[in-house]
Amino acid sequence: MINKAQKWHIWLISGIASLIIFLVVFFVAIKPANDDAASLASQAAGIEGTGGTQEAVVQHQGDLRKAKSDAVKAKVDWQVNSVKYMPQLPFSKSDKPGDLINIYEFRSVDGKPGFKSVPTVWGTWITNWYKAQHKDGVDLAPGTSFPIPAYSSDPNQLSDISYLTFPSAATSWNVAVYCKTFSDALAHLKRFNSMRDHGMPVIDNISLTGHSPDLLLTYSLRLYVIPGQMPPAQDPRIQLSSGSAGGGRGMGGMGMGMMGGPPGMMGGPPGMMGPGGPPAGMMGPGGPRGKRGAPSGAGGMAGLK
Amino acid sequence: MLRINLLPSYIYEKKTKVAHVAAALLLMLVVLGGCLAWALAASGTKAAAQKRLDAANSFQSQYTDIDTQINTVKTQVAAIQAKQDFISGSQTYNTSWPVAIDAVAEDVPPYILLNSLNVSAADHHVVTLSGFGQHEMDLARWWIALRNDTFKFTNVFITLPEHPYPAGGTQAGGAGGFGFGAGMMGGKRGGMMGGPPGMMGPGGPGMGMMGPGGPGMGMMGPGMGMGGGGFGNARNTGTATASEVQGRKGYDFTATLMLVDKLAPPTTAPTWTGVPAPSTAGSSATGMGGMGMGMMGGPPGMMGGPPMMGGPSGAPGAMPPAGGSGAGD
Repeated sequence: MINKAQKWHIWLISGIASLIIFLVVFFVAIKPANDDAASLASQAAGIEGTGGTQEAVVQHQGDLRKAKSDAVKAKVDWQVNSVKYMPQLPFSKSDKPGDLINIYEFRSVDGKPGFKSVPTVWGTWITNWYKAQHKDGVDLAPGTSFPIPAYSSDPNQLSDISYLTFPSAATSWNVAVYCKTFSDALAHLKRFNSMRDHGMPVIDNISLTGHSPDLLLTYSLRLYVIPGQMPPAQDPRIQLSSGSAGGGRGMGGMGMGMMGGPPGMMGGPPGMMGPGGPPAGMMGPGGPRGKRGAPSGAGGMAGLK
Repeated sequence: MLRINLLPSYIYEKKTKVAHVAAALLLMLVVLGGCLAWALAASGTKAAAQKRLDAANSFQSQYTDIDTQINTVKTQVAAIQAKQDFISGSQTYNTSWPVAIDAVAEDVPPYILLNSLNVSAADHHVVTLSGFGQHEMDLARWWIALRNDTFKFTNVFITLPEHPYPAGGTQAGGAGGFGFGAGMMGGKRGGMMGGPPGMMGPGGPGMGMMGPGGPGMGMMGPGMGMGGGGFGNARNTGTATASEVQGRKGYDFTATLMLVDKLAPPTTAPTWTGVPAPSTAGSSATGMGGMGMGMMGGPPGMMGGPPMMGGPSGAPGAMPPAGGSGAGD
């Protein structure tokens, strides 16, 4: 048969056979391998984009070192600041639920008996803090006071405390002070960060009015206390009932605040805006201020959280 | 001599056909070899991709481990970090107020007597001033100076007096030779906010009129000054009104300045709301009650008397330093 085949027959058969060989090898081996390689490369690229490279690992190791150093720094800073700002509340690690009455009634807070004294202790302290600045040219405006609502007389509610806010959780003291000079006013504002042992102060809504030597500085003030030690859990033996009793007390507090707020805020020290006033040459320091209104949100557990 | 091939042609064709068959087979072998080489290369590529994938998986595993460690570290320190952030945020917030006020005070010239300065409670960027200037040109000069102090202020507006025709009775007299020298607030820089009125400046009688106070001030409870914050469409309104201080005629003006970011206190006051802790149903209900109370207590008070209502309304010299009528009584 081959004897009869012409040359072109030979080349035609060879060409077709070569083509078949190519197609078989391509579709059986080459294309699947290429497809797999492309797929694998795509997956690898995706993984590399989400930290799957040595560079990312090295960089992340740096992040870990930074996180650890940040953590150490935060702990150190907090340690320093908690010593500086946060008071010692009458809680200790060894407290048990059975100690709640003792904590509430007897355990000393700055020499006063029991946690119940906290409003008195803080109110007295903040008042004295202001009085001490008389020598720095700063005096509380008449009528300015620092009321703090009483805490609940239920010792079990001490267990709910994770922090304290003075005067309460949602109100602040509206403070008005007379400063002899502008510099005294600025120095007074700068003095807050150096308060010690009675919480972190935050001042807001600053306003400056009038003239030296009766420059009136007003602002709002809050103190935040973050205890180092949490109080013990509730004592079921001094609990009237579970759950619902607590809820009932809470709602009562809410109602009181709603009614209590407006009058207090409306009052405030008068004479703030007074460029008018005394007769010429009188230099009077201004008239008596209007009476301060009832403290807003008085009563209840507003500052307790 | 002529060479003649007398052999039959099939003998020659047979020889050449064998060569063609060999060449055709060689071609097939070459094609087969090429295809196999290509297949090997593709296989190598696949192996390399697999290797890359394995390495990526390995690195990602390490990355994930590190990530877990980072999260663990952050979780462990989260409570402390939150407390520390609150403290540092509060410190920054407290410090920013005197910085902002000082920035404004530095730019108050001796010929301007300020009566009040409020930093907007809403955004802490807008400072509202009220005061007295004897000459309209003084106000304009000051306005230009403030406007040019772009390191501190981005927007400045000061009210100026109107000039209708025919002129009404609102023009200030413009008595000369009047220098406050001290200004309003107490002698920090070159008498800008200077000492007690009556002591500074050559002004004679009537300096005592700068004393604060007067009836009706009781309306201005603390926080009332927060009202001047808005820097909206209405900022370029208002006019300076003719006034008289210490016997000197001039203008009561208001000014609003917008502090640049670096001078403005952070917008929101830091607050501490604690770390959520598990609690009993009874106790959590109690806590909620307490919070709600205070929240409702405060805001209504903010609506009290409008800023600056008290002072200007008091007739200078006419009001003895008698009691104010506090609304909160």
